[in-house]
Amino acid sequence: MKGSRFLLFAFFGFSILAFTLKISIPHPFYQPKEWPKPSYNFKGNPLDYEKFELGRALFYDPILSRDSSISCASCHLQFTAFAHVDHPTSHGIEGRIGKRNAPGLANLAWRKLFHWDGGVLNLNAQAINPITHVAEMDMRLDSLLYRLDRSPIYSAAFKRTFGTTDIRPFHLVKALAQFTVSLVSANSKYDKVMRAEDDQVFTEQESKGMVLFTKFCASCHKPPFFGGDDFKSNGLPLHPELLDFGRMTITGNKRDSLLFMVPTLRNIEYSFPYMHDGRISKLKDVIKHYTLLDYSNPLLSKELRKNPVKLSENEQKDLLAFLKTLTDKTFLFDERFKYSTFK
Amino acid sequence: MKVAFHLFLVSFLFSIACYGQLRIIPSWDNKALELEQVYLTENKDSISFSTLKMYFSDFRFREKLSGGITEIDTLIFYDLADSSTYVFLKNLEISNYDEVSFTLGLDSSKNVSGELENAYDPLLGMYWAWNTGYVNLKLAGKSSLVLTKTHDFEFHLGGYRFPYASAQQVQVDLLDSYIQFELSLLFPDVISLKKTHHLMVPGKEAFLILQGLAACFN
Repeated sequence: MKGSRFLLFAFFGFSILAFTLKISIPHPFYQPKEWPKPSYNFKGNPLDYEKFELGRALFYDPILSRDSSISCASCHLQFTAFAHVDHPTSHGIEGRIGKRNAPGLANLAWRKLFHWDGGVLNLNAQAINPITHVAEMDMRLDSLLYRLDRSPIYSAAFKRTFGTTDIRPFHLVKALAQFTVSLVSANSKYDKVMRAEDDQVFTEQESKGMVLFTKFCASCHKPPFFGGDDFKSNGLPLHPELLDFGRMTITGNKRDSLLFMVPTLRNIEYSFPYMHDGRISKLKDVIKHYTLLDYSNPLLSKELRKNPVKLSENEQKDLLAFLKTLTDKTFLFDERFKYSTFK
Repeated sequence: MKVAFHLFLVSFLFSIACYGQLRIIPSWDNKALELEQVYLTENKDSISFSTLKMYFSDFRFREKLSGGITEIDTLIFYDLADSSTYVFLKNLEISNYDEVSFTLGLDSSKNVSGELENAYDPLLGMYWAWNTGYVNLKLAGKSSLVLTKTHDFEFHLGGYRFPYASAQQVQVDLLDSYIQFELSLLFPDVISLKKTHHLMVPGKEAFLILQGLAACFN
């Protein structure tokens, strides 16, 4: 009798513990101590681990595209900083090619503007663009919601996480944002050195590179994000086929012609090719681009005109060494962001 | 006399269903507008409409007796193809008021709010994904004025950035519980379909057309 009572208590105790553990799995988003407050409206989409897992599953699922051939991860691969390695511009269904480079995804919670032209103003809504764009997933939102509704796995997941049997676009994009907002990269060698963590120090070359970076690059690529929410001309001429005028497309202001978002340099070592249309393949050539610019060009951003980048061959190597300290391998190989086993 | 009778009839039939509630009745030559119905412009050119969708927001009602103002900060979506959107502010007894002002479209704060629910739902077809924001008014159809093979015209009118923040203020007397939106006033003075039959970007043109559309309410 005593034995069976003990077993009963043990069973209930174990059940409560298991339930507690399940609901206490922390959401991967975190706020690095030294960083400012995020811009993302967490009140409108409170962090929820189950919603994160749903968003992660959707991110990796080609169900989002019209012919079920590509997922978000097709152009945003984790181990290449959630960028599209070796592809100058994004790829869509049926071999369609976009006109911009798929940017790396990291620290999106601190961003106010999205896309190379800043045309998207919040992270939730951003997901609608690649899903519906003809050169990307080319999927109608109503058709996608129908698909999700018909899927036993997703309909159950939306019911469980959002309490709905009527999946609407805001449910879909909030789930995706639970995943994308969690992509925090703040654990590179640079971060550790700044935090004086794990006895990490820069090599002599990296230190020299940081001095050069601060002098020539940091006015646009400001730490701790090393880019974002600002539009500049880096002297790249208009691509004759893509005819992409950047920020001007959004504002209609001629002064914004050929201005593009300053990209983050975090994990830049892995997010090649570079620039808004991926026209430069190697990081060392990006640095060289700045040393060869025509600084009398009035269309060049003022930061560059005021302070031309003059670097010797060795200094270029030093700068490259510093940029590599922005690689965050714990982020690139974080198990929580990998292909989902949701199903 | 005939015109007045048509409007009276439409108004009367609607009133039976929803007395005391505000509604907006798009019209052509003072008759309730119907989708796909062919109308004639003043110069006898044919025109028909396949889409009329629009947003209304930020209502201010003036009370008949006290002159007090009742403000309702909300976003209303109207679609001529969907009768469930015809009547709005259902809890408001419209006979208590003698004047209303509202915004045709959405102001900048609503455009950038990040809301995607209810009237903001992208499924309504008013969300601009490439340039975060909403179309204030969509108008599409066919006209002999459009000198192309299909004779199609399509206007997605929006934009909230300076200097072409295109949402328009409208003020009308509430003589009855409906507001008339007379589209025949648009052609040819506000919209010259021979010159412009497709417009899907914000800017000066969209701003001016919406300004003309705002003057069609009475």
